[in-house]
Amino acid sequence: MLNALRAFAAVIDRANEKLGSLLGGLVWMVAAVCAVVVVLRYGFHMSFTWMQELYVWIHAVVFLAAASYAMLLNAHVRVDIVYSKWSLRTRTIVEIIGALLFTLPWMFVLAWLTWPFVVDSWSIWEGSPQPNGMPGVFLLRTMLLVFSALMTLQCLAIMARGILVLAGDRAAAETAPFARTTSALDNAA
Amino acid sequence: MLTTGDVISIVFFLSTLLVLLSGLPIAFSLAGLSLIFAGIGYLFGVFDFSTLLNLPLRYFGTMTNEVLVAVPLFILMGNVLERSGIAEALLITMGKLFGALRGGLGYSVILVGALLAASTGVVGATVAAMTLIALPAMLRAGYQPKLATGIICSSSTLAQIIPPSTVLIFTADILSAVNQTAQMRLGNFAASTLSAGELFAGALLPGLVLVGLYLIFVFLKSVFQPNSCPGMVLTEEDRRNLPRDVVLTLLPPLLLIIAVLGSILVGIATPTESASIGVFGATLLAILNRKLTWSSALEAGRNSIITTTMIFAIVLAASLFALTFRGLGGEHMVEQALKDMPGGVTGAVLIVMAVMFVLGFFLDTFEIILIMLPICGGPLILLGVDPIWLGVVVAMNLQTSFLTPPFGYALFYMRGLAPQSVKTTEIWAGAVPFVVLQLIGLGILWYFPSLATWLPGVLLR
Repeated sequence: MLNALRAFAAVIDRANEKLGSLLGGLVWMVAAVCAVVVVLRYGFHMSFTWMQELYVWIHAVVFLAAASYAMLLNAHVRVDIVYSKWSLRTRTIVEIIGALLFTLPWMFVLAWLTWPFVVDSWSIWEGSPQPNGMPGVFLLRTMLLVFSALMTLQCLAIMARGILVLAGDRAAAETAPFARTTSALDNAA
Repeated sequence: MLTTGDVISIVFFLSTLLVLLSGLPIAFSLAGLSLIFAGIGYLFGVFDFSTLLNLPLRYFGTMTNEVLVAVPLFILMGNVLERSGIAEALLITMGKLFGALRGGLGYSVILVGALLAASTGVVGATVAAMTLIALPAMLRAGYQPKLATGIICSSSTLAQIIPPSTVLIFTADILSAVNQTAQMRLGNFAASTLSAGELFAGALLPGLVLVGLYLIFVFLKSVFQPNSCPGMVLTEEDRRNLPRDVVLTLLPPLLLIIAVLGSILVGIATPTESASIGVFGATLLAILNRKLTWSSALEAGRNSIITTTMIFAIVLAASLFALTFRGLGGEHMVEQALKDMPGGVTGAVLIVMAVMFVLGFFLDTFEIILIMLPICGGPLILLGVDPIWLGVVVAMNLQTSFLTPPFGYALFYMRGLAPQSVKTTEIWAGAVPFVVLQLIGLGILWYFPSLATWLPGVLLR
C-alpha cells in the first residue's frame, strides 16, 4: 500500500517536473510571437489576428499548466507567520486537510462548472469570434479542465507524500514539497 | 440592520484572513473557503448557486486578456536582466560613478531600485535580489547598517509603484472594470476605459517624487552625519575603467528600460508589446555580455513561469472570492458602509486605506489588490474618487505598509537575508525615516491629486 503511494507520488512528480521545463521554454515563445507581431505591425504594417491571439493563448496554457508544477516546487505563496515554526508532522496534517477541504473541492467544482461550456464548444467546433482568428477555441476552453486535472493529480501526490510522512517514511519526509520551508523562488534568488 | 447575508459576508472575510494565517497556500485557501461559504450561504437561503455559473466565463476572460500577457513578459525581462548579471553590473557601475561621493552608494541603490522596478513586483523577490547585490557593498564601504537596510528596503518597494510595475497592470485591469460599472450606474454610459498605460503614466510622477524624497534624505544624511554614509575608495584601475564601464554596462540597460517605458507612456505601444521587445532587448544585452547560455535562458523561463502561475492562481482564486462575496450581498453592504462613513469621501478612502495598510503586514500586494479592489473600488468611484488617483494611492499606501516596523513585509525579508551582525532593531530603526518620507509622499498626493491625474491626460488622451 505504502509502496503504491510512493510510486504514484513519484510518477506525478516526475511528470510535473518535465512539464515545468517544457513550460519554461514556452514562455519564451510567448515573447517571440508577440515580438513578431510588433515587428510586423510597426515595421511592415501587417497584422494577423490569429497571431495576436496565439501568444495570448500560449500564455494561458503556460499559467494554467504551470500551477501544478509550482505546487510541486512549493512555490505558491503562503503567509509564513507560524508555518515554518511548526513541526513537519503538524505541517503535514495541515497540508492534507488543506488539500481535502480547499484545493480538491475548488478543482472539482471548477471542472463541474466548466464541463458544459467545453462540451458545447466542442460540439460546434468553436473558433475565434474574430475574423481570421485562431481556430480551435474549444481546445483553449479545455485547458481549464486540464488545469483542474493536473492540480488534482499533484494534490493527490502531495497527500500521498503526506501519508508516507505520517507513516514514518524518512525519504518522503525529506522530499515532500511542504517539507521545505523555503520556496523554490527564495532559493533561486 | 444587518441581514443574514451581511453577517455571513463578514464572517467569510474574517475567516479568510484567519485561514490564510495558517500558512496554507493563499490561492487554494481563498478559493476553497469561498466555496465553503457559498455552501453556508445556500443553507441559510441567502446565496444563489447560479451565481457561480459565471465562474468559467470569468476564467476564460482572464485567459484571453491580452493586457495581462505583459505580466509574464516583464517578469521574464527582469529575470534575464538579473540572471545575466546585468542588474548587478548596473548597480556596481552606478556605485562607482557616485561612489566616491558621500552617500553615493545610497543614491545608486535608490536609482537602480527605481530602474529595475520591472523585475517582478513581488516584494519578497525584489528585496532578496537588492539585498544580495547591495548590502555587502554598502557595509563594506562603512555605511551605518540601519541606513543601508533602510535604503535597500525602501528602494525595493519602489517596484510596486514605478512603472512598468506588474502590480499596476492588475490594478488597472480591476479598476477599469469597476469604473465602467460605477460610471454606468451614475448614468454615464460612454465611460472611458482605464488602460494599464494610463495608470503607468499616473504613477510615474508620484513614484519620482518618492525617489526624490529618498535622495534628499540620503543627501541630508551625508551632510549632517557624514560618517553614516562614507564615500567608497576607488582604486586607480576603477577610475581608469569608469568611462568604459559607464558606456558598456550602465547605458545599454538604461536605454532599454527608458525605451520600453517610453513607448508605453507616449502610447505608441501597449504594455504587452513593449514588454516583448523588452525581453528581446534584455536577451540581446545578455548575449553581448556573453552571460546567457541555453541553460540560463531556460532557467530564467522556468523562474518566470513559477512567479507568473503563482500570481495567476491568486487571480483565479480571488475571482471566485469576489463572486461569492457579491453573491452573499457583501458588496452591497460595503457600499452602504462606505457611503455612510463619517467624513464622507475622505472618511471612506481613509478607512479602505487603513484596512489595506494592515493587510500589508501579512499579505503581498497581489493578494491585497485582488481581494480588496473589486470589493471597495466600485463604491469609492461612485463617491467621486478618481480611479487613476485611487490606483496610485493604493500602491503607495501598500508600499508604506511593507516598510512599517515591526510587521512590514520588506523588513521581514530583509531580516532573513541580512547577516546576523545587523540587528533586527537596526532594520526597524532604519525603516522609520523612510516611512515618514512615504507619509510625506502620500500627503503630497492627497493635497495635489493632479500629480497622478495630470500626466495620463496629457500623454494618452
